[in-house]
Amino acid sequence: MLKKRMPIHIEPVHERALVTEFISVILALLAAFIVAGLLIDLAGANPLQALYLLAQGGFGGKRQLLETLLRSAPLLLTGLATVIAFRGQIWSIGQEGQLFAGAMASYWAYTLMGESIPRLPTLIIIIFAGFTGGALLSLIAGLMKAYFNVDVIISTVLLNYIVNNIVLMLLYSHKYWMDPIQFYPRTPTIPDHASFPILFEGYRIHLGVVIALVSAIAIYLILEHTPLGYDIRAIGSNPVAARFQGLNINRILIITMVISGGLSGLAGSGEVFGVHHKLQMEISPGYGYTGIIVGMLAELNPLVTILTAFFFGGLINGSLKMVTSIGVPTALIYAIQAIILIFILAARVFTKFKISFRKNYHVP
Amino acid sequence: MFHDLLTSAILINLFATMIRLSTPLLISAMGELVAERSGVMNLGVEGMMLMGALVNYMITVNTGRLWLGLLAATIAGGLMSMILAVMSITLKVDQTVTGLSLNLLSSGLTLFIFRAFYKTENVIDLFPQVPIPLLSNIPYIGEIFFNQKGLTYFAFLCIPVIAFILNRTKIGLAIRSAGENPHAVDTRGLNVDKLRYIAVIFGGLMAGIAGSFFTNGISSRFMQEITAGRGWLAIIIVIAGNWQPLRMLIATLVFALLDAFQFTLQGIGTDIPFQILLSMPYIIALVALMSSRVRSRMPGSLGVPYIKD
Repeated sequence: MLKKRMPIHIEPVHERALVTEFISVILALLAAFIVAGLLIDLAGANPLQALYLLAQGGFGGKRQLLETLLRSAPLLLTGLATVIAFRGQIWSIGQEGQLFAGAMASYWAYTLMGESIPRLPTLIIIIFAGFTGGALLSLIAGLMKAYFNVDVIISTVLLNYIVNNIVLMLLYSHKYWMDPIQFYPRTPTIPDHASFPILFEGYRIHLGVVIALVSAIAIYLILEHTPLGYDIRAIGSNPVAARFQGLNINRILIITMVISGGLSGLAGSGEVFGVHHKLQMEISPGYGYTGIIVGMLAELNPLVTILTAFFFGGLINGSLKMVTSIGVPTALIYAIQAIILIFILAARVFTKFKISFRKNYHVP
Repeated sequence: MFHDLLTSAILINLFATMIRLSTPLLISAMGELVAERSGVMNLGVEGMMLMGALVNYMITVNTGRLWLGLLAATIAGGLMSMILAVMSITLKVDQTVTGLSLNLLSSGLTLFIFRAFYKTENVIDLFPQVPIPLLSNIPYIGEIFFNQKGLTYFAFLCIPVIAFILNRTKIGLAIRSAGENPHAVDTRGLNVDKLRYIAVIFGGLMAGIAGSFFTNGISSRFMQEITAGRGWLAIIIVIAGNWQPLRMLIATLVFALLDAFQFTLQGIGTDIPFQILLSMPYIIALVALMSSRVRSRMPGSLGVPYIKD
């Protein structure tokens, strides 16, 4: 029974044609949106109308584009966190937890300072605390891998759950950070003194967007033009060879985890001090997880990540229009983005490998 | 006297809850064990369980038949694992990435379906307890072990059955060889991919069953992320148990006891914030992973796609 062979044969190709790659991405996106259309149809709405609203709400005008840019900042940061870690084959999926760790650390720093010092140092300390908070959480996973050989993917998932519970604990008790005059799980509102400056009058674009864009360029430079970047890529392409070359794998692992976690932490500060002006669970509708998809769709290229982050920022933004106009739940976006990922992963196989279907091929 | 009675009642309840809560962990972990023994790291267990929980809820709400819900959940888990199998075995996409994308898919899809179709909170029935005649009458022991639900007995039965299949049968040997040394399996004329398909789909069916228990054995309604990382605990149980069924049972019972502890304490009331209690299984999981450095029984080719030369 087991001796019959499958008629699919796969072998790697060495030159990848840009055209096939482009076509495969387009086809994957198309397939994903067809599935999304079916889901919308099942939910009882008109798929074309829903997809139109999605596009219109995300990219339909100046206001929509700027809102999308605002949404793409945390996605870009968590996407970059994914890029730098995955480049070195470090499967960190702790971005969501690190985002909240950064948010908590910067909020904590703010509560210690209040309005006691001038605005500029206040902001610098908040940003620094955000990076540190995310980096420390990520560092735990890095150390566990380096000294106890705990798989990063598993430790980061567990830390996400733990951090989530810690935030809930702090927000649901008047003993800790819950706004003393309210019964909603959120902190009191942060005054302008500690809020990120707004870039354009009348819009919500804030300092965090600049931080995200600068980070993208910085990660690009680190990966492509520094010895550290070279080492990360060396480990990513062949970990065994890298070890034989005498690279200190643990040192690189830990530095990478610190940078990756710090980037996600910055996303958390940006949402608290730039968008929501308070710490609450709503600061992230899963930005950490979407960031993983954003980074992977960009083929782990930091500059392309800017584009994919913008695209997904638009989808999230447009989904709000979709839910208010025709009642299709925003959760659709989270299903769509995973479907896009799966189709693109599958489509990439066709550009990376030569696939042939034949009934019987000889056994070597 | 009364005080003693109260504490023993609480203790019995605690251990009975532990056995009940170990059900989904044990079923999914045994399925994961088979998949991993064949060489495929299925990181999508969490997503498969979540899908199982939702599908069971949906079918039971709409038909009122618990068995139909269970069957549908099993199939849903199997279908999810088919995606994993096609992606990671046939198309050789990285197994970590594939498992991860399945979790993201499930997390989005279940939330969308639930929000879109179940605006009112329908409560469904749970499977009843099935006391085993005679055995359930034994004081203490009977109440803890032999007054459980059918799926719980099934979970514990899986341990000897799967251990036997893996270690004492031809197909078990073939599956283990596919995970240890796929080239040797290939030379013997067996189809590595097919063996891995069988093992992965088996793991998916088990994850579907395990997921259904959340909505037919624990909670009578569905909630967003109701599985809350139990699929990841199943993966950790396999590692901490060093790929050996009996050791996996010990790891399962530790996690289940922590869960039961939190359930019971919430009932009694305590000063400890319950979020801390909720985090205990994850914290202990990290400690367990740090101390399980012995991975002597880890399949040699775990996570490596098999590409013929």
